[in-house]
Amino acid sequence: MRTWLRVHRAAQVCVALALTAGLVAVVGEVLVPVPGVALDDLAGVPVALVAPLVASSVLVRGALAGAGGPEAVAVRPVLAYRTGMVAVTCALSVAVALVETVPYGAAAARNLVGFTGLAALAALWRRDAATAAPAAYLVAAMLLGRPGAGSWWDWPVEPSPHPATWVVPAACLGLGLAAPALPRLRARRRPR
Amino acid sequence: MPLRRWARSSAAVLALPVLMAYLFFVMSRSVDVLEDNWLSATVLVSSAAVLAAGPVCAAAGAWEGARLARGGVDGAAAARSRAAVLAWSLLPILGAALVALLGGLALAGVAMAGVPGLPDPLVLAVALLVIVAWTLAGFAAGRHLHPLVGVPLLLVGTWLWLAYPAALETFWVRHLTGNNLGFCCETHTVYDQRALYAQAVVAGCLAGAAFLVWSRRRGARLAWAGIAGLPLLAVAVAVPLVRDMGPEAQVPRTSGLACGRSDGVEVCVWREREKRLGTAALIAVPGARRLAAATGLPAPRRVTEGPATGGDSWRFAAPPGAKPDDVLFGLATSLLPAEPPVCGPGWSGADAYGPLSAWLALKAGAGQDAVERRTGPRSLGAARRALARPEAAQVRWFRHNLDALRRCDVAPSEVTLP
Amino acid sequence: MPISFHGCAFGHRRGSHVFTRLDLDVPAGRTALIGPNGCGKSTLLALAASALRPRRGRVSYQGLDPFRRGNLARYRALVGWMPQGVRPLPGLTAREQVGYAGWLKGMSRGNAWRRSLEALETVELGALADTRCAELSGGQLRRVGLAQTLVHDAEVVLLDEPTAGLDPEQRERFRRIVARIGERGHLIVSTHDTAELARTYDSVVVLDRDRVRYAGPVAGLDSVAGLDSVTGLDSVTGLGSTTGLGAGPGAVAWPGAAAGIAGEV
Repeated sequence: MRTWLRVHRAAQVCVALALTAGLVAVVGEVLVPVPGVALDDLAGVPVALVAPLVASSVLVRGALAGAGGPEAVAVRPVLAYRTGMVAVTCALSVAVALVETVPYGAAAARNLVGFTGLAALAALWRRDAATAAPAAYLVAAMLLGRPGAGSWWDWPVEPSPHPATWVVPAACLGLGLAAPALPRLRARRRPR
Repeated sequence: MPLRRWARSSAAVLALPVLMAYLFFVMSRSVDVLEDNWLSATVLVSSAAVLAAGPVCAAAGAWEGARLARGGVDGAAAARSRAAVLAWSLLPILGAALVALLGGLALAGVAMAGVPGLPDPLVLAVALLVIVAWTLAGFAAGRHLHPLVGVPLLLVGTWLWLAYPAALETFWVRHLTGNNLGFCCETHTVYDQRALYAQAVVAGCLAGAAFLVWSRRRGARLAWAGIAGLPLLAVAVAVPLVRDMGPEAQVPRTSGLACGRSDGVEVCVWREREKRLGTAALIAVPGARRLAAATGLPAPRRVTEGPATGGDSWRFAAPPGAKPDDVLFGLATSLLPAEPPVCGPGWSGADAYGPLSAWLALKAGAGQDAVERRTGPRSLGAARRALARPEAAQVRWFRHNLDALRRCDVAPSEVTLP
Repeated sequence: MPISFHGCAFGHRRGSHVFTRLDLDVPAGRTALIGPNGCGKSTLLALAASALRPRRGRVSYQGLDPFRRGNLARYRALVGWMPQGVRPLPGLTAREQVGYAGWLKGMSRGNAWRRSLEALETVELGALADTRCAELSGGQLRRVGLAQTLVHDAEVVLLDEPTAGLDPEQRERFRRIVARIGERGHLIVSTHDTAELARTYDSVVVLDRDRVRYAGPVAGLDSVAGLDSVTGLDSVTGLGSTTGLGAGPGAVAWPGAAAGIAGEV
């Protein structure tokens, strides 16, 4: 398992998460002005909502890394390990965010969950471009979203961790982690 | 490789619609409030293009860079130079950025229809240089980072660098990014070239360092020296250029006037407003004569939108949509100091500004409603009370309160209603 | 028959197909899988390794279907597979990479670590066990890949073009290793290296555009007309002259061909 964690870049994932947590704690409240279509003035998006994208990318990179051929025919349940790695990381992030009450901490954890879920879904289509999907979604939400309006879809720019804003991120992560286990999807994937 | 296939295989194909959409969104917010000069349109286009294309092209560069790295370009003994190999992947992305820039210019062109002038090529060139620099940075990152990390990192990192400095109170940082906040300049101002040079230096150094990272071979010490030295050079050269600048990179405009004579007085407007020169003269020249008579100042020999001494040349403004009352109000207030004196606490001279503005505007011939709208009823009331006095007393009142606006040791007189 | 394909259909994308209906019993012993590029050799091996799942039909090893409930782990423990590209895992030495492959195949960590050195010695790479994989040459990395398939004592070893791009000395070394592996279990090797087929392999399967054109002993290959363009054997000075077996009209057809399951289709 130790080598599995090494191969799947667990150390880098931990460093990225720690750096993100530090960033959220130190400058998470800083607002970055963003032009938005739905607003008259520039919308201020807290850094804490954007920073998890990079941590999520490192996590997804780690989860999808590994020995393509040998893992494709492994006896051990490598898919479960990978799913577990992502799920545990996301769960830990949420737990830390709930315990450590830094401003926007919970919203940052929610975005980590959502970005990772979107990337996991995109990976079903194309692995090497998986993290482009949450990045594009974040930009679209910044352009079209109305922070504070409580829409279900613009959660990446919603500063409040209201339960309604968790629905889509949690669903994305759930689907993204469950889908690769479906035999029909797994069968046709070309081993790398 | 056939041209179509070469372009189709590039990330630029995906990047183009994204950055076009972003550019359109960014520009549509501001195109209605453009000033009547091409510089403001150029800055808006360049700013929107940098904000839209910078992050997207950097991400596309990270993708293409990783593609080249995976393709084994590093290890291949290519007959072409590394620069040539890079250029073939870089060109479609830059082509997409150029298309977006031209699209933005076309949009601005529609909004600027009828305004004489052309886009400022220097501003556009620096914008393109900034985009090239970030695209190269993407390539450099792509050589070492998997696209799963490189693409979002470059997208968000570049966007933060371009957008975040606008929120900082340390103003000079914003003048280094190339974003320009989408705004510069009013027609009587021009872009502060120092900001452009600083942006060009930062972008040039970034591009140079990124190219060195991309093309360096194992153990190339000279390349490492360049990679370390170029950012230092950028800081050393660019920061002093912008360190003293305020929130906006504007300086007063000194050239570009179109002049004519009216009733013995030379009237000058900015060349973008040349069509309105005759109308402006018909309003400003009689207004100036009335003001000279009322204040006892010598009549000006020149009224101009450009720099004026305040002695024999007075300033006015005739922007598009300005009514005669607005023109007269501008002319009248140009007789007042542009900035207050540096006085300690307790200086009350500023109280004279409103009543004096109202009195001068009424003397110049502006309507009472327009004056009230601009100065408020209290200032208008004080001005009307002054107007009720004999002419000589009015002149004394004006000169005393003008002194109060200029000096710290003179208190304003009779500028408030009892 | 070590590996059997029954009515297998497979395509990488919806609407595309590599095999529409593949029926084949791969002979026991050392088998070469030859055919032109794109004919499906790698896909066939990936199906046999259970890395891919057929859309229709069944793959099995001695009756064990990997995609029947509960069979997958048992099947994969019996089959080793070396895909075409062997990637060095960042930061891992050759021994760690081989040990990791063993661990993935269900071995305990200690056992995998012990066996990894033996596997590396089998592929004549024991001296480089502690070298990082990223520092190995292409041929050495290929041997690390081979060691990865051997570390868990698979009964069937599937090698996908193991000698592609290797110099003559490395090929010869590979042939020696292949001969050694063949003594321990079944071996299926996809290859374009048709020189000395008979000396290295017991039997051969010829694939051509999703069809099995021949499956039988190497000696019988010359008796089947029209295979030259598929195998390219003539251009390699001809089977007979290379193997020294001669390919007269009396070459024996492979028993499977008579059963209609394998052989010329």
